Amino acid sequence: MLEQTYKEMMNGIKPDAALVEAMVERQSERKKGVFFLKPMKAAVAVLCGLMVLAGGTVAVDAATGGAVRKLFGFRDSVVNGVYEAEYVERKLEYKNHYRMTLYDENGEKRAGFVSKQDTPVFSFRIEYKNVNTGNVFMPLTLHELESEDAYTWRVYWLMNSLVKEALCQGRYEYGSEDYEGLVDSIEAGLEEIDRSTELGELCALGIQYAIEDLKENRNCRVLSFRILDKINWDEKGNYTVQGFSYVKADLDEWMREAEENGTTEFTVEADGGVKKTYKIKVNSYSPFTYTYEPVE
Amino acid sequence: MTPEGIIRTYSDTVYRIAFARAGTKADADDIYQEVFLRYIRRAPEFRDEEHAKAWFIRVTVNCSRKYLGGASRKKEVPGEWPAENGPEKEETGVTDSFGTPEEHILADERMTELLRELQKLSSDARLLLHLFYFEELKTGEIARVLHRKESTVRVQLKRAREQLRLQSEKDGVLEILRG
Repeated sequence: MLEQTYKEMMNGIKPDAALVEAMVERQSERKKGVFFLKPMKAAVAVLCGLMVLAGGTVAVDAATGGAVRKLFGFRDSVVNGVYEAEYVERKLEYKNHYRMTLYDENGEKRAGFVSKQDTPVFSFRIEYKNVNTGNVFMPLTLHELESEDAYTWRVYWLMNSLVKEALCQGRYEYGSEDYEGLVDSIEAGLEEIDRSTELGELCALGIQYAIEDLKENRNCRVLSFRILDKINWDEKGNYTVQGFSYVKADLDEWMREAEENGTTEFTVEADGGVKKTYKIKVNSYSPFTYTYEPVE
Repeated sequence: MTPEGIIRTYSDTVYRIAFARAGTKADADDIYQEVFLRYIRRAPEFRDEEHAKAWFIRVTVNCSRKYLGGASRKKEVPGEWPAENGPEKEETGVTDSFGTPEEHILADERMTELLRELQKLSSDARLLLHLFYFEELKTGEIARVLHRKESTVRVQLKRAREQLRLQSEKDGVLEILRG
């Protein structure tokens, strides 16, 4: 009886036809440089790669590091200034909740959080927004480490990792002991944030909203991202980071245009006039999965 | 068989194994893509259908392990399988394939209960049950594909079946399945 019901159930589980067609199309095209990335990861990867090209260094999670390498053709993360952080330990004590393994300039693994001695890391934030309440929180911030906000940033990143675990990825069952413990840890982390700086205030606000969402078991979705710090915005919405200027990248707009037209393009331009354009194609099987393709 | 034919032929198999391991449609989507991107990149040549099927099962298992064991997914949470309030069709990807409304409701309830029981198993146990019952692989074939001893597979399969049976009995699910 179990077997029969299982077979009936599994017979109903199939990949979306559009997903299969996407694979068939991909196989027939075999276009170099075309690959699938979720928009958040792609957006982060594009920006990280550009920052690296501009001479900067970024610290990212391993998955984003992989996306940066794919997008920009970097063979070696460390050489190209991408520090890949990997979560290796988890405990329900927030201070020890995550340890990250970082790679130093020599390619050697170095455990622990990012320290002030690391090379400058640019900063941007990604906003998650609860579509029901309008509450916004920020799951990832890459911040310039050589600043008074370094500790805030580290706590914030840590807290956001926890928030992502609980809220966005549904790791813990709402109301369970683990879930409650996680919320307690995040609340404890909130207390650690120095709200006297602008970044601290922003981070605290983000985490505060996240805690509210966690307590109410509300889901969130990605709406937009924007860049903070070391960015000079002009009246047209363009901004500059160490010699690179970018057309304002608004994920909201990308998603809207891409969903309406099936495709959209994202162009970045160096001050020297070098342009790179990325074509974003929506895969119909998932509104959150896009194909990114460099446009010659 | 052409590469396009191979993709179409093994799509369902790959997707179902990914779903059996991961438990959500979103994760199965990601794993499915990774498996076929590997196939496209590597373009392996298969001796026969058995070889092709074994390759896809093996790669799906590997991709699932890598995906589920990724940086933010270290902890296996059986609760990923939709449970508490019953499986959400949109989430599980279970589509309607039943006749009358009555049959539909009964089938739905049976599947809901079965999903609840399955979620209590480890993803490895779910994989073994899937390969054995749905893909109808023999224990020797499962052992070869998973690079395990056949005796180990037999023991693990027995445990998984026993656990599922005991759970189902305890929770009264067997009664529901019997209608």
